[in-house]
Amino acid sequence: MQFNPVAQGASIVLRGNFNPAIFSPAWFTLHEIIPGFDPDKASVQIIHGEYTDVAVEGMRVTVQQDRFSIETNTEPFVAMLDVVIKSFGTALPHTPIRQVGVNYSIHFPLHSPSQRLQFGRALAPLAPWGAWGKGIEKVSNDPETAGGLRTLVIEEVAPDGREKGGYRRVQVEPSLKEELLDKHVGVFVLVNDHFMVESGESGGDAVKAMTLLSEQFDSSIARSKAIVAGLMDFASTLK
Amino acid sequence: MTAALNRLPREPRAAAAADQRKSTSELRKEVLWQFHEKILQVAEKSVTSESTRAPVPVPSYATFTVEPVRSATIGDGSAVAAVAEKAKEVARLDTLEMPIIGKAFVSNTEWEGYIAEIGDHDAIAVMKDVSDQFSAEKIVTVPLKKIPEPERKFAQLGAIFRLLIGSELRYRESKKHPGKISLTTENVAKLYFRRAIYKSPAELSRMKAAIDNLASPE
Repeated sequence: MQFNPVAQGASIVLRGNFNPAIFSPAWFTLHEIIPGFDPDKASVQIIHGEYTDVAVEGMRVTVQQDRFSIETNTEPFVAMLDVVIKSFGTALPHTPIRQVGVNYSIHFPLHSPSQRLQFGRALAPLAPWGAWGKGIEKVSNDPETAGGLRTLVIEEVAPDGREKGGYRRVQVEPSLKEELLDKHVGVFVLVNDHFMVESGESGGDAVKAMTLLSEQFDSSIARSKAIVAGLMDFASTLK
Repeated sequence: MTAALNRLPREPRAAAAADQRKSTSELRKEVLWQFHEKILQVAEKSVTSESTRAPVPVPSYATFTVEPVRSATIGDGSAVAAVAEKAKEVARLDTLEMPIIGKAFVSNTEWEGYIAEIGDHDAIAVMKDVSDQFSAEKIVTVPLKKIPEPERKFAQLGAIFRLLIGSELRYRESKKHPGKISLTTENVAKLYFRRAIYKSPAELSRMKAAIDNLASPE
């Protein structure tokens, strides 16, 4: 990588029908979702019929009635995939799952405030904004006080011939991780890779979702990292 | 222990004797299962919960590092407020703002492989680059003692693993600058054995047919 990340993360998000109260640390142990996992070491924020939020083995699991999410900020990300596969491929194979998302995010610093300002200007030039854009440029060219790009999302529709409804979105923002980064140089990138699960009689099922996830997870993360590497390559050409 | 059992009435005595025959892990599993059932009961009742409902007792063996919001308290509305607050929080989960804790690992290279042979001291593994499906396979010898716990117990013939080479990021609260986090990095390798490999029923049937085909005499 051209720039060293200070933090990164990945998550798997499933959309469908879930019973949030099931996902207690005891359940993870009972079904050996995480072999050798000690439920006493879990951190439980809430377990409720409508919402669950627990942290197990460095992974945060949050479940709503229409949404399951697992996220981590440490690799191997495939450990997270194993938890999802054991949960829905083995323990709850009849769960209706209609959509799958694989997300990757990263925070990294550029070399200088000036470089980040140019990076923002290149991604979102001020010229098309007319007089207002010129005003922003005129007020300050000091990279530490200048206005400019706050958030940008680019979408790729049906990537790699994916079934209708799938997309890949890349979001770029100044990083707000001020506790870790100088706020004038940090960049945050989030890649949201979204898949539709082929509809069955029940409107999507866990078997199809797990097959899709097993086949796509590694390539999705690799593609996300490649997109970030491309942005870094571009930023490195700026001064 | 026998004296203690004899002091019990007949039925509990039989139950206690049966418990004695169970292994610790079996008993633990049972307790966890009971706990899980209780949690489900509590949650199910909460869906139609009203303030007149008597609080559902929370099992005494429930242990949490952070006290969870329990639906048993739903009558006074505090749990509902907490859930609503959490729901607001989760709505922005796609931004992946997991709190920075302890350490994290960032890979530069990731290999996937399987153990092709295993001896008393070494394992022979075949692996290839995950990010490049056309990369050539490599054969490596791994001394078993180099495999760290808790991964070593998964090192068996045929086990699938990931080998990652990269940096470990270590976060620590800065003493010089309160509110800031200092970061140090170290180059390390990480080994992880896959806990689950998913094969759909259709794929398993194809694999079985292929094995049968190979096994059948010409």
